[in-house]
This record gives sequence, C-alpha cells and structure tokens, in this order.
Amino acid sequence: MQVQPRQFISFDGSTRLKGFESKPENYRYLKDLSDAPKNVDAQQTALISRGAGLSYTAASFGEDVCSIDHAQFDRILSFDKENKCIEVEAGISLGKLYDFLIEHGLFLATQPGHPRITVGGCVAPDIHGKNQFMDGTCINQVESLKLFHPSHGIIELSPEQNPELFRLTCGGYGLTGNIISCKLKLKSIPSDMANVTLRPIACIEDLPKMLRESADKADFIFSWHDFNIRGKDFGKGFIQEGRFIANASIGEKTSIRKKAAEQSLNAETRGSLPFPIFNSISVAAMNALYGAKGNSGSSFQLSLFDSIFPIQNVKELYFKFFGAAGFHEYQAIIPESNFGQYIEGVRHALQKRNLPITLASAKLFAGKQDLLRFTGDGICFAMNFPRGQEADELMKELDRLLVNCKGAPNIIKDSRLSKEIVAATYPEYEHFRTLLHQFDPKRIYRSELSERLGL
Amino acid sequence: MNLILVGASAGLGRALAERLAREKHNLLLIAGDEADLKALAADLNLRHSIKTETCAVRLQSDEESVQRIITSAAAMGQIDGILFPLGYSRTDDDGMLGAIDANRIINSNMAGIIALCAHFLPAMLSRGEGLFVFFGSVAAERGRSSNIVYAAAKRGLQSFAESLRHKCAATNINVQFYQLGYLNTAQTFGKKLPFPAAEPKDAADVIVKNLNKRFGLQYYPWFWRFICLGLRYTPWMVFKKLKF
Ligand SMILES: Cc1cc2nc3c(=O)[nH]c(=O)nc-3n(C[C@H](O)[C@H](O)[C@H](O)COP(=O)(O)OP(=O)(O)OC[C@H]3O[C@@H](n4cnc5c(N)ncnc54)[C@H](O)[C@@H]3O)c2cc1C
Repeated sequence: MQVQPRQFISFDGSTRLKGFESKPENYRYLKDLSDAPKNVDAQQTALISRGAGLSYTAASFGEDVCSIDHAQFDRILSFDKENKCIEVEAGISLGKLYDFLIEHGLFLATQPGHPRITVGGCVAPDIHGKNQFMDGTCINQVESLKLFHPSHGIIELSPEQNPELFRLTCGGYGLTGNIISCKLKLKSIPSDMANVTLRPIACIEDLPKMLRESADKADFIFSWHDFNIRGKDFGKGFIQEGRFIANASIGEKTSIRKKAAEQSLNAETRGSLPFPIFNSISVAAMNALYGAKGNSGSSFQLSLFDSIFPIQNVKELYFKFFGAAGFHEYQAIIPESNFGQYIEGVRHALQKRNLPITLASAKLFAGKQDLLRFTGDGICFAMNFPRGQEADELMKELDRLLVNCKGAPNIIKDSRLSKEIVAATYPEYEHFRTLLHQFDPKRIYRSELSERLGL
Repeated sequence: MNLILVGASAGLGRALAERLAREKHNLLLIAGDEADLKALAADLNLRHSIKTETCAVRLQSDEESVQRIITSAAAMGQIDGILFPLGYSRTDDDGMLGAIDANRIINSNMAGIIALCAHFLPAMLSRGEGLFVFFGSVAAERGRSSNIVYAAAKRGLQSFAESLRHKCAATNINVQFYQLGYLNTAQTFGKKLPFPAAEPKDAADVIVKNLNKRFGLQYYPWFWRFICLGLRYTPWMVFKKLKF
C-alpha cells in the first residue's frame, strides 16, 4: 500500500495536522494492511478511514496517523428493489446513491446535508437527518455491514450477527476498522418533490411544543432562529415543515440533481478566504433578511434533492464566508423538560458577548442514547459562529450549561470537546472505551478525535 | 459494441469502464483481482444496464492467461474491439533486473497484448472491422537510465501498433495508440512530478469520444506532444546530463 505524507485540515478550520494518506485503488490493500502491522508497534501504524473529509472535526485524520481514503470504493454491489435494499461500498457519495435510487422511486431515509458525504462517513459517526424523530439515525437504516480489521479480517455485522460490534461500529467514529460495504434499507418516495410550509415562532420557549405539533404532519422538520436580536424577540424564527407531494413526476429535475452531485465542497478550499465576511453587522442584516421569509407563514415547493441536501452551489459560500480562521459548529440534544432552562442559559451567555450567531437551528429527536451515539429524546439544537477567543469562552460556558441540563454534545461536530465533557454527558463513555479496547487491544485505529477523547 | 477492457479495475482502465458503460457498450472486464472485478461489474450492470463479463487474470503471453480470456470472451458473442489501458512498471527497473522480472515487464506491457490481439485479429480481418486501442507512455519516448525494460516494452508495443495499423489499412479496423503523460493514479501517487497529472476520467472522456476517429498516434494530455518533440531532438551532449 502506497503512503505519502499529507497536511490535513478539519472542515471547521480548527485543526491542522501532519499525517499520512493512502489512496488504495483495489482490494489488495486489505491484504497489505493485514500483513503490515503484525510486527510493528501500533503507535507507528495507526490507521483511520476517511470518506469525503467533510466532518467538522478531525475525525478522519490524526497526527502521524495514516488516513485510508475510500474514494475508489464507491460502487453499488447489489440492489433488491422489491425488498428495498441496496448494498454499496462505503466510499460511495450520497449524491451518487441518490441519483441511482431516485430512478427507482426509492431513497435513503437518513442523510446529512451535503451530497459529497459518503455512506461510510454517515455510518461511522451514526449521523442524523431532518427526520430523526421518525426514522432514527443512520444505524436504523443499516441492515448489515462488512468491517475489516487487520487482526480480525473481514467480519459481517448486523443487529443479529455480532450485535455488540455492530453497535460499536455504527457510531464508533471509524475506530473499529474500515467499513468495507453496507447493506442499507430504503424507503419509497411518493415523488421527488416536497411541499415546505413555514410556521413563524414568536417565542423560542414554545419551540418543543411547536416541533411536536409539526411532527404529526411532516416528513421532515427543522427550525431557524435569529439569535442576534436582544430582548423579547431573541430566538424568534420559523419552523420548516416538509411533506412529500404524492404523484409529482419522478425524475423531473434530473439535470439539476446531476449537476448538484458534482459539488466540490471540501475542507481545504473552505478556508480559502483569508478574512471572514461574517461580523455582527453583516450577520444581523443577513438574519433579518432571512427571518422575514418566515413571517408570512408562506409555503413553497422543493425538489427532494434540495430538501435533503440544502447546501449546494452558491450556498456553499456560507462556509467560505467564515474565512481561514474557521467556525464552530455546536450541536447538542437537550431533554425537553430542561429546554427552557437551557435556552435561558444560552440567552444569558450570548448577551454578555458580541458574537455573531450565523445559524441557530433545531430538530426534534427521539430515541435512547447508547454508547457514544448522538441520539436520545429531546431537542437537537445547533449554532454556528466564527472562531475566536470570545467563541472559545462561550463554548466553555455552553459545556457547563449542557452538563447542568443533562444534555449531550455532538462528538462529530465539535472540535474542542474534551474527554471530561464527553464522559460527563455520555453515561456509557467508559463502556464504549472498554468494548473498543476488548475488540482491538492494540488500538490500531486512531484519529485526533479519539486521542482527544481518550478513547 | 462488445468490448474487452484489459486492466479494467483501477486508474485509467476503471475510468474507461465507467465511461464506456455510460455509452452502453457491453464489457468484458479483465484485471488481476476477482473482488475488484466483481464489484465493478455489479456497479456498471446496475447503473448502466449493460452486459458485463469478468475474467480475473494477469494478461501474460502464456497460453493459460490468453486462453482464459478467450473462454470468457465467448460468453460475449462477437468481440468488436479491445482496449489495453494497462502498464506494469517497477522502481528497480535499472537495467539489472533478472530474467524473470524483466520478462514479467515485457510480458505485461507488450507480449501478452500481442498474443491476445493475435487471437482476435483473424475474425476482425474477415469482418473487415474492429478496434484496437493501445496505451504507451511518454517514459518510452527516449531511453533513460530508469524504467529501462518498461520503456523498451512500451516502445515495442508502439511498433506493434504501427504495424497492425499498416496491416489493417485497407479495412475498417481502427488501430489507435495513445502516448500517455502523467495521470493521477497509483503509479504517480506520492511522486513529485515536473508536469501536472491529468485525471483518468478526463482522459477516458477523450478516448471514448475518439473511438470512431482514425489516427495512428495521439498524445494525452496534448502538451506532451511538444515536450516529447523537444526531448527527441535534445542533442545527446545535453540529454546525457539530464537526470529524470
Ligand atoms: C454541509 C454539511 C452538512 C452536514 N449535515 C449534517 C446533518 O444534517 N446531520 C449530521 O448528522 N451530520 C451532518 N454533517 C456532518 C457529516 O455528516 C459528518 O461529519 C460525516 O461524517 C461526514 O462524512 P464524510 O464522508 O466526509 O466522512 P469523513 O469526515 O471523512 O469521516 C467521518 C468519520 O467517519 C469515519 N469513516 C468514514 N468512512 C469510513 C469507512 N469506510 N469505514 C470506517 N469509518 C469511516 C472516519 O474515520 C471519521 O471518523 C454535515 C456536514 C457538512 C459539511
């Protein structure tokens, strides 16, 4: 297996590290990996899988770690239309998968917001979509998967076969080995168009109740809030309720879709602007403009592709506008009963600071927390803001608030999360660690994320 | 068309497989590893609804490897063309390789290809039509102190293609030879290159667009034509001092 040194950067711009990369083109690399680490100290041969490298955190690289790029492993291996099941190699992008499935009137129910993201990149951190309350997280879409580890070879995992390792891998941040392929469950779509209704939110404390009301009638929901306003209007915004339209013509928007699948968003070019465009004034203006959209209670139509992957084309500029210094993506699940206390804490923390909040958004979550998987009952709340000293202080305050409110932070999104905070918010932190060390005593698979969290 | 693609699982071969499948050509995919071929064939089948066959073999001039390809080709029906996007080089090819290693390079880059062509040529000649696409390397443009046997084999292949073209001149058998510059593949991965490497999928686009064009030799990327011209006419007094 050929390896070369490489400088990596995380998508949020926070972490730059020297590691190594390998870009295997065929399955022979598995044999090379099986042969290589046997006689060598694990520290020197640390490995980690890499998908599109679009994680905000340094999850697919680490200092002196060899990142194995799965880009060439992007093929569809089998497809069972009748039973709504597809087997794919883990490097396939969601865009390519979408293009294939839409022709058959099917789609993957849980997907993150960008078509370049890979299936491996979805399964390993167990990502969620805008329908988590209904369809769960990525693990709920996986029927089975093939995992490779140099000490164990290729192992088949599913809820029935090696169930513990299955749970450790879906939500294991790539630390159990290379996911080679996945069998995914699919859902039928009535059409590739969705109707989106905007419901204004005057008072953010009402958000949990309103999200629940929306959940009864929508296929996907999320909210948007203006956190730059002080006073009683703090957090006003709207809920976007999306519902697929029955009988719209499938494949109508093919040309738009195909073009979108070839987006070039990546961690290296995201920070190409040397200075940020976002500051208190530009963000206040942008939010006022965007917020006005929701006041009318209007509705509009959106292609399924655009509703799943809202960030394409010109919208990618949003990330570029943070410039080289980068940004924080903060996301946490807060139990509904503590949401009022939590929002009050956030309001308090923001009032003390002059920090432009470029995005504040929430989704409804349902489920039970397990190992280090980002799931559970509650409100999933997210914020974006530029990096800097004030932002660092805010994040520390939010950490304390979250522990008090019995919430949990999203590990794949927050680059500076400490081991202590993760241990305090994920009751099964130690159990995860124990299972991981039992499976791989040499701890061959590592990343900046795993080192930072003491895994 | 029913095409044979030798060296289909990686780099340019893989890109060509994708591009040809998009044009609805049926493909016999040949490469060394069964797992790669099966995955590729399944993917092309499902996404492009074409017919695919696979044959996991490393093409050499021996009876066995050629015969295995011939057997797999029988399942395809009439073979309309063969493309050979493959190359095998090694870093210790410095003129001191033993017979086995040197033969392997010659076999993979030239002798095996010649043996396979010899089998399919008679049928194409009797039909009066067919297609052969060969791939050389700019490394063979002028002999140097590295890639010694590789360059010799590739230059031999170029001569073979030239002869084949001459033999088929009165027919509709199209013989094309691409002199390839750097491509972004495993062969160039991690190497510091004096000129930019092209993407295999861009090369595949050009090659597939050109399938019906009649030409003997084409450089890809195009600018290598001028670099190679310069190399060929560099006086020996200067050339002997060049380290590359
Ligand atoms: C624009 C944008 C929108 C997003 N929207 C959402 C969203 O709505 N919901 C959400 O939950 N997340 C979202 N994310 C986060 C994103 O889904 C995750 O960070 C995802 O992991 C990125 O996938 P990737 O292919 O880039 O993987 P990488 O960033 O390369 O890797 C991510 C992790 O997966 C592991 N991994 C990747 N491939 C494999 C493999 N084959 N085998 C084993 N491990 C592997 C890596 O080791 C690493 O730990 C978004 C990110 C962006 C940039």
